Amino acid sequence: MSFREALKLSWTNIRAHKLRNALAMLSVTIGIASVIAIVTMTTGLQDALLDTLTKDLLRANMITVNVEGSAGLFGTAQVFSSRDVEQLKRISGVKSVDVIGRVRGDALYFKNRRLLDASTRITTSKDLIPLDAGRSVQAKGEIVIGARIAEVICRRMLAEERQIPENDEVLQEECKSPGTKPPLAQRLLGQSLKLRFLSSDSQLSEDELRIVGIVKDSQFISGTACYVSPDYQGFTEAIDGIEVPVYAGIILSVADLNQLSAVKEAVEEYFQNSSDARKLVGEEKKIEINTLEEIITEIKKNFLQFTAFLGAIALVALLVGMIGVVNIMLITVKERTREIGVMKATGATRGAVLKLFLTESTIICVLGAVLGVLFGMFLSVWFIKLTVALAQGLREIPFVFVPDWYLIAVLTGIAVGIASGLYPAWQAARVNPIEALRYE
Amino acid sequence: MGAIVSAQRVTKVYPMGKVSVVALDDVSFSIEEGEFVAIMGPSGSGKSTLMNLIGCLDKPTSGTISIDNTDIAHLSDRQLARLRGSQIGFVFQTFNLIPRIDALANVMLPMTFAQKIPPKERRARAQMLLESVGLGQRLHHMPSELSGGECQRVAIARALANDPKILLADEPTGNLDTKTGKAILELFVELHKSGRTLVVVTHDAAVAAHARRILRLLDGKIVGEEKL
Repeated sequence: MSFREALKLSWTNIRAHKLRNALAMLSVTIGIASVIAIVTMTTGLQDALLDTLTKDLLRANMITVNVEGSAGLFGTAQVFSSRDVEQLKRISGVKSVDVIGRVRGDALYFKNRRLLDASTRITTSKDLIPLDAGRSVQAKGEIVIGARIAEVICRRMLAEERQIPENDEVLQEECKSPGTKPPLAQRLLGQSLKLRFLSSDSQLSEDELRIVGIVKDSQFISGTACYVSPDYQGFTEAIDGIEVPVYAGIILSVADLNQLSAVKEAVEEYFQNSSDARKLVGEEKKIEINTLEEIITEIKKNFLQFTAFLGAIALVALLVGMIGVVNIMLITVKERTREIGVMKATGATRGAVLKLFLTESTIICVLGAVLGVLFGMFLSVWFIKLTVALAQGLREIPFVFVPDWYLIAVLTGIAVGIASGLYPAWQAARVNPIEALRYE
Repeated sequence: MGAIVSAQRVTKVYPMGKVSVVALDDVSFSIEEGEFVAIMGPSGSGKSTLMNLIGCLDKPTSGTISIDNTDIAHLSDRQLARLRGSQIGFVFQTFNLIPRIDALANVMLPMTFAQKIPPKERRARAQMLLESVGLGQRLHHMPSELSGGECQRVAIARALANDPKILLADEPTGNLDTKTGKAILELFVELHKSGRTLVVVTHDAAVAAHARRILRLLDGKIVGEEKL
């Protein structure tokens, strides 16, 4: 019996019991769809994160240094001293060393009203923070504001002008991502903010700041962080009896990519031994020194675990689907016992009978898998929308088509079809024709 | 003409728990090519067992049974299936057509199993066979749309699908009314005239009367043989 003949006959058999075979198919569909949806969604999330990281934040020639912890470079632990920075600058191959830190006791005001969510940071880097509008901070008295803060300022500004409430819906819509709307951005740039902070001698100080830039509106970049020049640095630590300024993170860039690993080793060695940071951190936490490549590897590893975990749950759904198919096939074999007897009497070998039933279960599962792929894509789009709606700050996760996984899904359909058809088909193949012909 | 079926001291014992049932007891006979033989006997006489052995569905407990000079005792399951497919055509009392496929597809089915008839010729051959049993107008009817007699004709056409050496019928008229049954038997006679070997298993003397030779079976033994 050729494959085509088996296919044709099996299809006829499947159509004879449309409802129950459709239900068996649906159970496979649900299993495959959940796998596809989860993989597509987590891949989308991962790609979005990596995209921001590689395009907007980090470059291949960078090495980041920060204390172990969730906020990393932008964390609160300020342990890297100005002396550490000076020492790092001496390592051969280092092109530049920039720092990121927090402003001590910071509070930002617009038109004498506090910007509640804003947090103010200092950075020496001119290009670390990606912008939607304006330029980076170049001098004292300048500030780059986060995208969310820009929205708040925009609303306050326009609400006052138009004499309408700040929570007006039209206004809120208008002020979304103002950095990307040139007329609004132009109006925001040049506005002045007041910064109150504690200087290094613990004096409460105030300064007028002019907005010079708006941070890029992206889901993985803080929208509430604002950046000022290192002149507002106020955190110090007494190390060996001397007060020195301290920062939260360091970013080194190397002149030549080939020297990246050598420089990294030197940086690691420095922090292992004599650094101020080591003295401040002690044994409590690790000092993390990463290249972009390592960060990407780490993120991918984490996502893989995440995907595998969720995927395992989805596989349970697939397993349940398989059991459904096994069940239907067992019923089918039982029902057709007499026919199997007739087929055997008319020359069907065990192999032919086996093939016929395996083909039947495989058709069900492959159709289920194909539908599952389509349904899974639909589901993942919906999942993404749901996640975005639920998780604050998350926006526009791209829908990622992962061709490998679709192929895998269909191959899984075939495998599941064979696996779930195997036992029933074997039952069919070993039917004794004499008994089967007597079977009522 | 040589013997197409040859049984030498065939015994078939069915183990039934602790006791064994002797269904066939030291039976010897042979059927020549082109013969029309009826195997007659009441129920329990062992005629079904004999039919299963001739039909290569079962193997004897002892003795030898050869189909077309092949001793079936030494054949594997697969070889038995092949032999059945190519040399034996079954006609059952209850027709046993596959209900989901039309008459033509039912006749073509054994051809797909045996792979004896080239794929391109199958449809034409099935059509020819259905025409020869008088169903040229019923090719695409489903079994449920056919009368009992018509179903049995489809079954006969199916039995002839692979041009087998032997046509083996088990109470072929048992589910038909007298008139329809008679027509089917006439079809058998015609097939016999055209040189086909026919073996009909029956308990009905009227059916057996159409054969040229009758083997009478009782309690697993051949108790009589008559030529008509």
